[in-house]
Amino acid sequence: MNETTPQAWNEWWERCALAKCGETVKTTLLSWATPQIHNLLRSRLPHHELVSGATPSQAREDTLPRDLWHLFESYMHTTSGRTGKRWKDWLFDKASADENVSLLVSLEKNASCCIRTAVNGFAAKETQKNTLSIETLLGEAESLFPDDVDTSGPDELAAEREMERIAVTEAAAFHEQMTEAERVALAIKVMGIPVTDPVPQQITGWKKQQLNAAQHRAVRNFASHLAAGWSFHDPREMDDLLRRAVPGLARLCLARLSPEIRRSLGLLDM
Amino acid sequence: MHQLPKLKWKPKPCEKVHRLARWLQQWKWSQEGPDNIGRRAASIRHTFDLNDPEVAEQIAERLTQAAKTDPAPEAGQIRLLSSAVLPSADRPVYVALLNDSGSNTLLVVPFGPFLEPATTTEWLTGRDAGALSVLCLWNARTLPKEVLLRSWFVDTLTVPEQTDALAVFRHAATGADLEDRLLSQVGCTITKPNDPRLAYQAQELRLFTPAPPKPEQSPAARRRGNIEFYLPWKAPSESEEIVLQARSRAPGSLEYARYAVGETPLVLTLLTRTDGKQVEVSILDQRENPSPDLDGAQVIPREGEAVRIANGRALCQRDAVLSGFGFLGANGKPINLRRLE
Repeated sequence: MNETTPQAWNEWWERCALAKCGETVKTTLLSWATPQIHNLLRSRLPHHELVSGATPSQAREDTLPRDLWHLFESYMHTTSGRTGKRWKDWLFDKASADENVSLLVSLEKNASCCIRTAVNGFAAKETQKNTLSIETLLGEAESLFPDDVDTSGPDELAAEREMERIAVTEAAAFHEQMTEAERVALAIKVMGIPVTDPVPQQITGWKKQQLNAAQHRAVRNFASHLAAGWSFHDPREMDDLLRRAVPGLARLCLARLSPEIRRSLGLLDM
Repeated sequence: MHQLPKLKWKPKPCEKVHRLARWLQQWKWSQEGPDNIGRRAASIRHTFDLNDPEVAEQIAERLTQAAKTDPAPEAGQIRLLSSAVLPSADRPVYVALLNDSGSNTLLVVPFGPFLEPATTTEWLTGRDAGALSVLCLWNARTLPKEVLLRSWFVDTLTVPEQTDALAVFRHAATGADLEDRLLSQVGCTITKPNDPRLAYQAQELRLFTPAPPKPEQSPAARRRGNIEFYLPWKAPSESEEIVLQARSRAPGSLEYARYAVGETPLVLTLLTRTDGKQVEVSILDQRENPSPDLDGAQVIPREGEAVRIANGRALCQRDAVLSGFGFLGANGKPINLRRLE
């Protein structure tokens, strides 16, 4: 690793650009920065012209460090004017405020962070031009979008309605298997009554942890019940059934509470 | 076992999926550790690297000058926050200042680290500069202008930029609908619990938590860059009006103050000379004799040139230190002073 000096950094800051610095400062900073920029860029964009090629020509070797430094500086500048270079003030302000390490160490550390920001940003701009490098991430990105059912055609609409019917039927069947306390636990979830409320604790005889566990257990058991009874073409179909059936089950628990429990929970008798 | 009906799924919005994929790539890159080469070299040289006091002096002076020429913070500006405000930030964090209600506060919105908006509450500004590409309206907060003094002016927002930013802010704060044009300039909603954008938001939220001013900073002791400024004659609890009073006072009356110097047994004294124009700064040992122990240290007048201590003494212009002075050691690091009554 090549060493820099506070004087070199200071001259670069004072003269606004490396091109305006003396030869010693240029050599010092380029020797320090080139390997970092090159390695980072190669890991982000292995086929980019700045890093590809097994044996660069002599002319290329001469200009490469300056090109890489230009990449770093030009990305960091926010405007073409003097205030667009305020990130250098930030760099020195941060370094001189660091009480744990020397000025030089802090300058190098924070300049390395800026280099990483610049190379990542430069690579991101290059990626915007060419979709090839994000192909492997398209699947992950797609999976983060909600799965919406297409009901535009009659067959699709019929399939969606059949799914809804199954959800209602399964919810009713599972409701029959639940204990009264489990039904209360799910009903209060629909009503927004917290498990810390003393009324449901009194009705069920459960403490808040038990009520909370009962809510989770009911949903897990219902999911297992559905998975045991149904096969699917696409895992998203089972997810869709759960999304429809679980709220339906909770609403059923609420609707079929006994009159005494409804009164205790402050619900008007219908 | 029965068969579930075969559902048909709506296609995912292609442009938004691509945008999110690009965002994911930038997120993954940002999570890879900082450059190992720089860190390793830094740790090796850490123990024997010494600061150059001259360079430290130049840095302090340049930072002071930069702060002096900046316009005051106001709505419509883009500013770069100092590390005194965001000490944990490892990148320069730019902010847009919005919504000047006339009070002493501004709505401060950070620009994000990536070139793609993550959610519907991040807005693609259309600016070329990578650091100003995306405005994170979900992470906006109200800050006193006093805090924003510790920032540098960078640029101004155009009126349409301010209008659009406020529209996305209203969407973030109240769920108000976005017009179609703006919908194409924001990201997409987070709907799944395993979405990495949740971790990103937590990270940015932690980062964009401005550090409270240190108790000794306000109201009289001020920080510019990393230099603490002390008002020479009056107790630190009094305001700048005191300075104005001091200016109008006839010089020659007794102006004397004593400060404990950091953790040392030394005392720094200030005494206005009888000519009323100069202030004598002395470093005294426990026997009240001038001490050379801090020779090379500098008195930094708020409004003038730095003066070095030599043979335990230095002379400053009275007018230059009236509005405050800082004190740097010979190594360029600030030394705290504590007023002795």
